[in-house]
Amino acid sequence: MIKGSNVLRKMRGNKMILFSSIILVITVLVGTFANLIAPFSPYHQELENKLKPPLWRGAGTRIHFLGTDHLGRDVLSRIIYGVRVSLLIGILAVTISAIFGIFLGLIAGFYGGIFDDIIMRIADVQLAIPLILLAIAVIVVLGSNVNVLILVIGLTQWMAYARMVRGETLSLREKDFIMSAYAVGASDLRIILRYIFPNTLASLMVLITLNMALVIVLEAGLSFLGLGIQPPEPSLGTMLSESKNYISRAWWLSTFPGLTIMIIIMGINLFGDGLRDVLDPRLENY
Amino acid sequence: MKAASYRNVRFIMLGAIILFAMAMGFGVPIAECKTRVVVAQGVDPTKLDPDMHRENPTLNVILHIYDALLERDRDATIKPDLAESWEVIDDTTVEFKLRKGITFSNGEPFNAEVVKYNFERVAGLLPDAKKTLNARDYKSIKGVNIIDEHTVRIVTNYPDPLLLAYVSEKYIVPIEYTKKDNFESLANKPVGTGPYVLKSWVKGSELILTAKKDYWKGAPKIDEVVFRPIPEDATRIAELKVGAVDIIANLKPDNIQEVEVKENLAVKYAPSARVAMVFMNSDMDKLKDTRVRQAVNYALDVPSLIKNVMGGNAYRVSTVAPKSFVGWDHQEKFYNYDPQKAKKLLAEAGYPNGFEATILTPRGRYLNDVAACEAIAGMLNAVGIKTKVEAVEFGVFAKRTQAHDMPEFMYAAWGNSTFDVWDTIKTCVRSGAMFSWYKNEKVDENIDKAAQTIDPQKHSEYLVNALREMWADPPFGFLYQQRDIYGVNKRLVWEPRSDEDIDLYGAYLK
Amino acid sequence: MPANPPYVFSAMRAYLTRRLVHSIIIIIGISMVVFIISRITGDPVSIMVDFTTPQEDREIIRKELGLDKPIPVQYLIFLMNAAKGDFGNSIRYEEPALDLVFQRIPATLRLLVFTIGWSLILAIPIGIISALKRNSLFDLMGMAFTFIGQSIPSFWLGIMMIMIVGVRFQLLPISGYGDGDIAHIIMPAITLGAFGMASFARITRSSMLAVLDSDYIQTARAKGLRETFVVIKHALRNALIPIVTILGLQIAGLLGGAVITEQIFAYPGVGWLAVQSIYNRDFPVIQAIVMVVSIGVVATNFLIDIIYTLIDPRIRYDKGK
Repeated sequence: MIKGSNVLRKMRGNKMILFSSIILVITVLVGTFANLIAPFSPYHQELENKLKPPLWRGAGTRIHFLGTDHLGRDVLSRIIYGVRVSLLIGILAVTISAIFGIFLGLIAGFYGGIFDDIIMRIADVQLAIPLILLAIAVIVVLGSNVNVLILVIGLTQWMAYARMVRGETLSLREKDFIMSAYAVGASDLRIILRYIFPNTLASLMVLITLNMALVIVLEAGLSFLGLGIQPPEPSLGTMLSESKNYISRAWWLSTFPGLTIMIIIMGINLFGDGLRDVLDPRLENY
Repeated sequence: MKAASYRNVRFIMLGAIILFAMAMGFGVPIAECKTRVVVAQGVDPTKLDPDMHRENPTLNVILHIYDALLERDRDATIKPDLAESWEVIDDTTVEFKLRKGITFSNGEPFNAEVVKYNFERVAGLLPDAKKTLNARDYKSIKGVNIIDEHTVRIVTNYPDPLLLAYVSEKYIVPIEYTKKDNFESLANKPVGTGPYVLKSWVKGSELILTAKKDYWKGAPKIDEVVFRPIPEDATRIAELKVGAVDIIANLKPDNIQEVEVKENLAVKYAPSARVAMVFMNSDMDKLKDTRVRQAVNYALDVPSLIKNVMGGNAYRVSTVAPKSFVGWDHQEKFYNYDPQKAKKLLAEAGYPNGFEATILTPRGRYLNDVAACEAIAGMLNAVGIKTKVEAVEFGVFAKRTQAHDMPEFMYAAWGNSTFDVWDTIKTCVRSGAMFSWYKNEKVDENIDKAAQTIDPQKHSEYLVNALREMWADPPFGFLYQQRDIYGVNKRLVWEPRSDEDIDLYGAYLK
Repeated sequence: MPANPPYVFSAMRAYLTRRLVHSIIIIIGISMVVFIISRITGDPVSIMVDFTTPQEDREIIRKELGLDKPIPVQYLIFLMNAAKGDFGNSIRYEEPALDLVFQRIPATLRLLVFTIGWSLILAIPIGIISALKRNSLFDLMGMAFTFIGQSIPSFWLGIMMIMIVGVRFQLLPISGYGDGDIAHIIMPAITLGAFGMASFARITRSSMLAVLDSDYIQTARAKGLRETFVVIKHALRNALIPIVTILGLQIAGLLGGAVITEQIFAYPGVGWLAVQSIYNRDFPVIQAIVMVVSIGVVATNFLIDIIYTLIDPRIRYDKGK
């Protein structure tokens, strides 16, 4: 079992976590206060001022620090709002899949038998179907808006959580302290909530961070196929995909959103890795 | 620590890198055939049965393999092709004199029997043939009479002013070859009278046509025409730049510059038959009032759209069709950009604060469709119509619009290969038609009259009347006629056409 | 390898039998998902015909495709035909859907083999050296490299490569399949493999570290065995297990990634066919692709189970992973 204060001390000592925390805090602040930071509205068009390069490469008539896109919108402002949208999708989708996966994983691991079989076979089925195919199919039917996107991504990610929680539950179930809880007559629910779930938290934390990175990349991929966030709503993936036809003409359109995604993903991954070092859960198999 | 092991591993890595580098050296293509032209399109053709497809990329292959009785030349005039001449006998009968001595690539002769068989197929008069996808164009046909081996008459149920236009789109297929398996093989192993024959088709990869040296109009100057599907614009342009592809269609205005600066490349333009419009759903209460729909037209800064979104590659029109079309109104009047007037009209119609709306558009089907809609939404926002863009993949778009499921607005660039206004407005304007959300009795009356009037003068007159009425009570936000943009390798001498067809017969390499 | 006692073999056989049964259940489950997806994706008729085709004509086509029967009946028909390899004709190409998929499979397989190949060839040495020289400059650079690999959106990498390698320096052909030559595969394989390579390298490193610190390696060293021998023979073999696991989990992910990669490079594989078929509502092809691909994934994982038992005979056969 993990002692809280001990973990905190270890985290403070870990350079990876320190560095990535700074990135993540900045990202979250940018996303939260997008409307205060962004110099322009992300929808504000200046058609006459389109495809202007960043400030230091000569400029248009107004100050667009990172230049403008094909409709004369401010790239910096759109990135700032894009961070918000991407984070929102990441957080909500991961929340959905984590809740769903943890619930099913606990049931499968704790009760075993037929529950386990059914839940794990469903997970296997879904794991065997490339999720991007599944996602495309659903999005094409339901249309593409933020809610559908979050739901689709959320429902294609739960398997990792279920498998992990199930595995941990299986091994915990046999432990002495669970046995003694039974002996004093604790209910199933109490045992799950009080003894089992808290002990999966360490692994969950790591899985959640790594999954978050995956989800943001997935959103970008779906946007590339035209199935992500709809214009004019800015998301980093949509911006990157819109920019693909301007790569040789307006490099700043793809470079800055691309770098932003890279920095965020790197921050999340570093954080996850650091957590893994500190918490030391056994994750290789999930 | 353990230098020995490190060195060992380094050897393994070095080996891997060398192997990789060797692999990279292999197999750079050297297939440089002198008279081979490569066309890159967004998708692979579907079926090479000329009556069973509905896509331009497929048509571009088909028109190299087959011929029609008539053809349109560059300025859209109908000319003889497999038919030497034609004569209008009366309101419902046209006689065609067929060219002699022409054979299909499998040796079957071309004659009156073939023509009868072909038109009976598309008109649904053959007993056990499947219904073709172009059947609606030929539904006026009552029958085909053979006068002699090289003369036929097509008889219609009623006067059909568009008959010749549709005859020019009917590519002729052989009898025996298609009869033996009810057109089954035709889809993948086409047989026609055209300048090229299919050599090979690896689906999704490349389709190769080879020239027929004994083509009746003279041997084509290009030995091989290759069609390659490349879905991504950026990839198509890249292939054009390095010379692996000779023609790409649907170049985006924003990409013109990067193609133009290349010494080996040229950008070519052709006025398109497509006219972009903002369809308005006047079944909805907020758009019932004529003034609201006029307000939308005043709110649209079309010149700015043309300049900034289309990069100047569009011609403003005040109606649903380009200038060259039959039935076009030559007294062209525009709604000049006037946001104040738009606001005033909205206020008069009871919407002083505008309303919320959505504009539906396919994604990537029409030139810069999504960008145009984003700009249009911006303009509508400026007069108080708070508009969201809903960009969907074309399959969804087709499905929704066919189910008559449209939000307030829809963006579409309507194509019309008959060069006759009637064809557009009978489907998009006539009340009750599949893509009409509009009701105006005067317009309907004129459309119906035009439908059965074969006299060109009068036919046009009805159409002009309809268009004028549509200008005053607009069913659409009128935008522009598109200009098709092609990127072409300069070694190829070829000119684009306004019907979007990529026809390489007659083209040659420098 | 020391001979295993016979009871291990029988346990192994029982284990593999159970995995086989699981695989079959999974495949049936997949068939249901596939069927449901294709029925909710909407009306295939509307995409086949022109805007203006009247309702009665659509009905004719619908009947011809068997879309007028009740849903459970449609599923049973689907299942029976699927077992025979008959998914119907492609709506777009009018060719047996399965043929179409099989035409595309060699290209995708080649791509996958190359992708997995290069990413392992690069990842395993990077991981090993990083682990052996922990906290050295190489380790730092190697890990930075893998972090970048994991955070670049693959389509961006692909397009950048086209611009730089293909257009600017003209080193490689940009798109298509060519004659199936290696040159056409390099850029797609790099695009598709960047993410996996980074994962493999990091996993190799961390499992190598774990193994190197373990007692028996220490013992082996103490016995005076040559370092290289220790690393290759003992440490690497044990470090391979998590890599094989991840490989199994990543097959589905790689096939998913192939959707985007093949689209960018106009590479005529299954992924591109999948996107196109979904856009065109080409049900029979979608069904055939998902079935074939998923069966492939299930089969690969079964194969990996076998490999497991070979690498590590001590694996527990009683409980599934």
